[in-house]
Amino acid sequence: MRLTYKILSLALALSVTAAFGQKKNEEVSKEIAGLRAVGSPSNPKVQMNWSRYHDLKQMEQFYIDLQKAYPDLVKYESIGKSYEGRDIYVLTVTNFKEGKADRKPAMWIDGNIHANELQGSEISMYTAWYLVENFNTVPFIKELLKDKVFYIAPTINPDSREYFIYNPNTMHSSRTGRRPFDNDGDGLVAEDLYDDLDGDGEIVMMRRKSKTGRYKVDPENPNRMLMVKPGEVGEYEMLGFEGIDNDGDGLVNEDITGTYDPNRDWGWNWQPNYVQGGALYYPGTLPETQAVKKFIYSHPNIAGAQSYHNYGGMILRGPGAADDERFYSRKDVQVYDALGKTGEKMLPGYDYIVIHKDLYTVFGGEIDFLALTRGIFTFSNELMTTYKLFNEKSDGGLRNSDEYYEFDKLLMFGDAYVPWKEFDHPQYGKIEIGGAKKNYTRNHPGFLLMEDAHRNAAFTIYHAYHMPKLEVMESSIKPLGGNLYEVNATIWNTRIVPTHSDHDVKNKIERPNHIRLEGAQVVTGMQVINSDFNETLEQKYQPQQIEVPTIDGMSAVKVRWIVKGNPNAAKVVIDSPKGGYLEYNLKDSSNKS
Amino acid sequence: MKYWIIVLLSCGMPFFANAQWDYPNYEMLKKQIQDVSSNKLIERTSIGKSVGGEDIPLIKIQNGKVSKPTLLIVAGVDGKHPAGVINSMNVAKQILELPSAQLNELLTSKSIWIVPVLNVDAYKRNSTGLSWTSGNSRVIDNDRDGRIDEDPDSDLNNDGVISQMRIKTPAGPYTIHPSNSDFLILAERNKGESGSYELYKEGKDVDQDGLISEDGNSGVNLDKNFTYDYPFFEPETGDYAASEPETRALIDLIFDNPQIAAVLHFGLQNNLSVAEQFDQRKASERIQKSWTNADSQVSAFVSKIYNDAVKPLGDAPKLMHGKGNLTSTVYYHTGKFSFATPSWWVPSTTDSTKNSGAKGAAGKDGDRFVNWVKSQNIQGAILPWKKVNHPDFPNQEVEIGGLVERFEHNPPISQLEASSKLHTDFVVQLAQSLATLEFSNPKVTNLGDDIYRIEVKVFNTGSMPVYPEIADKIKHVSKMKSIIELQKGQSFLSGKRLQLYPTLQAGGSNTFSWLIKGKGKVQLTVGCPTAGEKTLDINL
Repeated sequence: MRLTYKILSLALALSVTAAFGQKKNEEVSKEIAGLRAVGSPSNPKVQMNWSRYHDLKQMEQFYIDLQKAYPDLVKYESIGKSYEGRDIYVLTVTNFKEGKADRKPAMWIDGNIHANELQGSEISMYTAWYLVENFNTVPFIKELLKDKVFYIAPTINPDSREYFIYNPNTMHSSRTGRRPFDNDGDGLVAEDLYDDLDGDGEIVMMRRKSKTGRYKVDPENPNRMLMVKPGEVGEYEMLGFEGIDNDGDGLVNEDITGTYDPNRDWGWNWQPNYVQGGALYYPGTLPETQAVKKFIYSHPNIAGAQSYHNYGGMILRGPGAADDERFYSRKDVQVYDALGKTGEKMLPGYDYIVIHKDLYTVFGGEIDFLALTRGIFTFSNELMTTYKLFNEKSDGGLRNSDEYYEFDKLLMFGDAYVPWKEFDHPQYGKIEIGGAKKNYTRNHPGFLLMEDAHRNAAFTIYHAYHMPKLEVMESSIKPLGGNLYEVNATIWNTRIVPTHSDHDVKNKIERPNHIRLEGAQVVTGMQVINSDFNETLEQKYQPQQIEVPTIDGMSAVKVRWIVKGNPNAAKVVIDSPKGGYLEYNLKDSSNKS
Repeated sequence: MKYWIIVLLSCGMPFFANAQWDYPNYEMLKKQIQDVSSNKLIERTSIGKSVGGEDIPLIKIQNGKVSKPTLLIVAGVDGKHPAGVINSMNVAKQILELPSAQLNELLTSKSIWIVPVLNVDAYKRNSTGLSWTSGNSRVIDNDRDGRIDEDPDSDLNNDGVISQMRIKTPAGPYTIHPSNSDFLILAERNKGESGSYELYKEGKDVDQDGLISEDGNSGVNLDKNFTYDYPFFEPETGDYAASEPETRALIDLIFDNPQIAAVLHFGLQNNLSVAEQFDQRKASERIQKSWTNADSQVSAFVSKIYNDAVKPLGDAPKLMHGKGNLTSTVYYHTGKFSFATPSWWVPSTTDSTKNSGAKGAAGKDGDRFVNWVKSQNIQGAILPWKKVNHPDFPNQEVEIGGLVERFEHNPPISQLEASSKLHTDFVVQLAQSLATLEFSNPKVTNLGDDIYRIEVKVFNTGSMPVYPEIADKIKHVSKMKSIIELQKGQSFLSGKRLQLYPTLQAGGSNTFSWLIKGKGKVQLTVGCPTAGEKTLDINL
């Protein structure tokens, strides 16, 4: 009886403890092994549908919800206003409880600079969501958010995103922003826009029956127009995207809003628009560019960057112009290769390539700004590729490929195209209107969106993981006789990305790493170039703080000080702009050296 | 000479009180701008704010609010050139003092706008203290070592001025000028000369990086921050092209005011004494690096006017366009005719009789300067050497003295008077030379059945094209155009509502015609903001 009582009370106590424990766990997350599909939360605190696109209101709601659900992991802020006065938001994702956020190596992610390229926003948002919803379940993520910080700007072109979603656009239009310019030189601004002639919310193609036209309808698929062979009489001429000549200059849709390109507005090798189409007056003509630049400059801890575009399935690195190849040393390229080639594996159908060589020349692009003006290892992914339709490389190139039509027929059941229908056009007369919807071809179909979101998020997480992580490998204190001591410390970078790219070191973009001895009377200090042969480099100016231009990936640097008095109570401070901040007490060295 | 040294030593007054440095301080300059602007022909406004929060003034000399082809004068871009600022103000004053008939005629068809001091921060800083720097108030790490302003100017001998510092060294690169032992020149090694000094700016190497005073209280030099051939990662250039609000304000001014036809920069460059040369290869590269053939001919024409106008000033020194400068950017990136002159230089006609043999290694310019200082008795421009003990050069003979940089391109104010008068003449001629469009009366031919042909001929009666040829390539520059507004019931049988045309050369003409069906009034606008526009009502 007594025994039973004891056992009972013990059991009771245990169950109470268990209940408390469980309750605490519930606050964090509730994962049931059998319900959790590996890699994805089964019951996320912020419920999201990743098979759709989001407008600005929905995006802001997501930021609010995420911050509310994970106040110690997420903070969102406006970094400036767009041309039309909308906020440009950045989500800061890190473990705010461990370390100072702005001293951790940072990964910048932005999407949607070209506003018609919607999915960059969803993929950026997914990245933030994935990180926090898996923080408590996946130890790797917990560790990552202790060491690193993510700055995520889902859209850096909010005006135009909203315009793309709610106004007449094609899959290619609204690439630009909303600042109006007089594109055709008539002193009027944006007076000849697309016209949704049949009012169905889609801007599609116009065709007209014509003997001299060079197109015919594909007998296999009425949505598809085929070019006729030489010598074959055609059925239709193509008249471009839906619209009329609103300003009577004989041109249709020639003065749509902003034919500029926000991705030609950046401060590296900027060129005017006769050299680089889409450029404006000078780099940073747009308030959106200015806001992002300001944020980048006020966060020197940004060591890695990722920008999202569409389409074609590419992992791009710079430079944008052949002339700038000279700024990519072999050493820097090796770092890019190590990351980019892994990316190819993580993103089936994506090729790791160089902008100016494999895509086209870009002057004044954002990638070059980040990589060359700031020395940040930067990728730009061109999202969505025809490979994803049937998981194979298409043959015959994009224009002749029928995969989009077949995919629509077999998997979208006709939802991707507006069937051709007749229309009386004020200038062209009897025409027909039809073709691919604006969210087809460039933007992902819903069910493919989540998969690509995860794969791309994983690539940026891989990149972020390999941003520098500095650790003290060993340290020692050696008495030199009298009251003099020699302090040695070896600091190493346990990841692939160096604290400073070669380009950064050559041009002194960011200040050097500082390795400081605090709490000791330093007589002299030096970097040890070769400890086996005692080759050293003395630093005469402020020797207590050794300036190290870079700590390469998977490499170590060794510093030495001669100090007066026993430095047992001193500490070594490692203060690297892109490699983080670390304090190390010399007395901990006993078990290390 | 000796007298002022004694004064300086005895009372320890700041340098400005003693030397012949008589430039107005910033408050006085603002007052001058304000005073000039009280004239009814002037509208004073601001094109934006500097990094330091100062207004960047714009003085518009114009008759009425209707925009006319405009010559824009810009000065004070590089902070080391206050002479340009003063001369731009002198030009403003002298234009207003023109005989009223002449002034009226000028302003009936043209306007002259002046930004007297783009880099207001630099003017403010340089006019009050020791400082002599090019940049604005941006806090920059000029030597990119992670420390801000850690190695500033240092007035080692406390004479209130930063001069030069020489260190006696066997086989040093510098030697003494034959006619002024206080002025050092490079020894001509290829002529067997050897020098005996190393020469530095007066100062210290605080951060022990081997450079003297390389990171002090200077910001971004705006004349290195413009977009053409921008020099990234060099000292004083800023973080990226057009990173500075002053730079952007000026480019915005040009794009926002399409009537600006030409820009004249009073600065440390010169493409007026010697015209822009046409280089076929450079002109046809993707990134164009030469004025086009047609535009270089305009440059030659303007140079001719210029050289005739300023002949009494003697030969001007060659001053190359630096990277990221205003003048090249205005031509290549904003599509305007763009000219630059220091507006004053050390005269070549100074008495040089006592300096016959001295075609020294400092070249003609060094000789000129030495002669000018002597003949004009410019006090404070070249200082005698004085020994100091220098911590960075122990056991070496270190002396402070020599050239005071600010006098190189900036004479005592009284000496600017003559050059500004000649430049006013040039400014007036340049403004008068700008393209002027004249229009024939529209010829209307009734073809019957309510069909009309309208023909208008346009002549450029000015001495310059409507805009430079390069502007035809630049999207955001307003082009020659015609717009016909029809009424309801009228339609085009030939021609379009809006048509654009390439630039019209001086003396050129162009005929525009349309076929219109339908009676009634049509409204025709022809022209270009840089040469004048005309709107006509035509009754059909």
